[in-house]
Amino acid sequence: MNAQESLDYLNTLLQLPDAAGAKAAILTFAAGGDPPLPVTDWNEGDPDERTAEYMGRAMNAWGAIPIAAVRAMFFPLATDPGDVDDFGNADPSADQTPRPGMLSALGEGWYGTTRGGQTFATCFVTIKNNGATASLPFKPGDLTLEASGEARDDGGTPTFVTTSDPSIYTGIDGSKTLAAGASIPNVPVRASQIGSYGSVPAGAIDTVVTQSFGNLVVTASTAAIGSEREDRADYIERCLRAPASNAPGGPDQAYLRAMNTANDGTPLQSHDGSGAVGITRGQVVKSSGAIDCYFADKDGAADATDVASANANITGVALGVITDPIGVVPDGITYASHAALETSVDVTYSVRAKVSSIPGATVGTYTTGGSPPAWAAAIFNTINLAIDTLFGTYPVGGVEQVSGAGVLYTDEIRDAVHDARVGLYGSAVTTPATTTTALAVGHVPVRNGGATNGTLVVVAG
Amino acid sequence: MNRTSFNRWVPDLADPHMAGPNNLAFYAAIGSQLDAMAEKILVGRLSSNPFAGGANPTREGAARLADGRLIECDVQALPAIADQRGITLYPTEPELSKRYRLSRWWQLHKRRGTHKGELEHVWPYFLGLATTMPVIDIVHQAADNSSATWHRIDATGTYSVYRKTPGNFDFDGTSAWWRWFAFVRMSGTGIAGPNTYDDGHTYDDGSIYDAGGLSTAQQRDIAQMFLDWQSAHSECIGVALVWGSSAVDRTSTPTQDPSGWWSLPNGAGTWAKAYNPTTHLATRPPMVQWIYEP
Repeated sequence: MNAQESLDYLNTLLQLPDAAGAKAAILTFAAGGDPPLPVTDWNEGDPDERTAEYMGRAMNAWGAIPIAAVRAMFFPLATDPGDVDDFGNADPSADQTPRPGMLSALGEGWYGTTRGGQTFATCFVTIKNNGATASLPFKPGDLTLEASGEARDDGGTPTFVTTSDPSIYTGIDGSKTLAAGASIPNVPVRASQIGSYGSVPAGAIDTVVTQSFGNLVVTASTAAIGSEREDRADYIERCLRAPASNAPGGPDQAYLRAMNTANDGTPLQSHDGSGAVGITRGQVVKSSGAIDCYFADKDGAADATDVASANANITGVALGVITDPIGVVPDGITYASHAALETSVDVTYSVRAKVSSIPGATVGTYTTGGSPPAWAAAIFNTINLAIDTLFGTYPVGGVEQVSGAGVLYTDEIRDAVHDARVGLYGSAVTTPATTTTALAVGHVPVRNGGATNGTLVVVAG
Repeated sequence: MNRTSFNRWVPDLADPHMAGPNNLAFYAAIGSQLDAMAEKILVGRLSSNPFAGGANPTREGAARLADGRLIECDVQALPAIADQRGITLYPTEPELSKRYRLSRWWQLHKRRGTHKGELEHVWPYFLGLATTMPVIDIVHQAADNSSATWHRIDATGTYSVYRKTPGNFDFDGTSAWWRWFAFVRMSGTGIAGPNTYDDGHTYDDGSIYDAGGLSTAQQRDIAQMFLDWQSAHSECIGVALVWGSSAVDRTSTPTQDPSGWWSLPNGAGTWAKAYNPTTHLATRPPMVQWIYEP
């Protein structure tokens, strides 16, 4: 029995109860009781039938609690609010607002690992009074600012609110008054929207929305970084590497743990303070007593800042905001770190679908080239994302490695195309034309966007 | 068999005026469903516990429920627990070894990458397989051959270190601290040794014939258990099963037998190749079965 079959067993064993099932079980027991009860002859609404119904509901309501608690002892079955487990079950909380829940408790309590949460972007701005008279006194929270050039998918733009700093708000009742033409730098602000929605580059905050206190403008701003909640799978992966953080002997898992997890179990921060590192994959390669590590994120090679941050944490040498690095390299060992190398993969595929499975579709053959209709373009985009997800989680160096070099299986690309969307079938991949694509030591596959060609055949039915 | 008896207890709660036979049967049915749910929750809770103690074939000393059932998960849950604890289960590994190693996951991970950790990772494999646990050695030699360090876990699971000066394990003339070798001493474990032969007709001189003893799959798993627990920088050069009680003596110095083989490696031209290309004689001692070489 492999791990997946074992999980299937647990998922079945720990199925959440349901009221109808509990009632049916009671009636089955009753029919087989002493004396056997003719429960199948009952009319719905009879007192005993109602009692069986209510008992079923009560057992369901009660049983859901301990069973959910037991499920949460296994990572594949554990969730935080807003998550879906490995079997497609949504977190059972009534309030699905993303926040720490059973999964985070498991990770914290057993693995000493903290899930990276959503954060508000913060930064500093310079505010100037462009009016001819002094501004009215304003306090922290009074001014709303906007990054007007940073349009988001929902059509909105990030907004920011001033926050407290006693060294700035020195006036009566903690207020600030700006004389005509005066400026005040380093005013702290925080995004109104949580997460990456509020991430903007330096200089992007350009508008003071609130004009109630005078003709105030913003003349400069620093970069603001807000983070989304750490992906569930990434968090579990970091948890699973936690035991290796105790190992002073330098096993490969200790390097992989330290590449993206700080000493305190939180996501490793970039040394320049720009947020958590994006590294999700790594490869540890040995050579005559020396170590080479390669790091990658979901897009491909890790950037230089992330590599330097991982390097600092692995070697135990403080760098920037990484003031308490782990240090996993045993004494006397030669260690080197690198960004992973990218192997560009051309992909040509075809896939079929019934016209009834695609809203708005018409029978025909569509290709990525030219101008496919919007519904077809959306499917091609979904397929691209599925391939990117496959490549973005593929092991550095590939699978079936020999001395650190492995392969990418073409069949996995075909499966990714097939699984990209419900209703797709008959997927085939003609490029790569070979069964496997070689991945050298330290290499990760990256889809060649300019050489990704798809054909969608929509048939009647 | 259920641990609870709600099917009896629930009818017992009924007032006399509710205790007609049909009602009692109905209440018993409700109790039976409560029993089923209680059992489900109990089994579910046990599913996270791989080991109830008692690391011996009869499980003496293990924690048990009142009905004698071990307070540990069904064997089907072990792979899921292993995945969660970063412990690999090996196809030929006895169930008792799987449970024992899963219960020692923190300790195993703590010492992963050390030779003590490698020894502790492999040693449980023989739980339930050997009547007496084997002694296992790992040896590495200083680059200047000034010493050889022998790490040992004995039949009781006790770890010790023996240092031989000057070194007695110059495998191929290129010694390095990060190169190491493992020897599993099978003599006395109760596991039948492999067949031996000399010229293909007479099975008697101690050279290993490829049959009997541990299966190829078992050999592969044992070797892999060493490899999986090594440090990222070190390199395992060989794993061997020692079937002779006096072979590969860590306290001795290398000597050459008149028939050509060496008792321990003594530099280039000794153990690095299984036979001497000039004399065509075996270089390695009889009753030692190599199961891994890179």
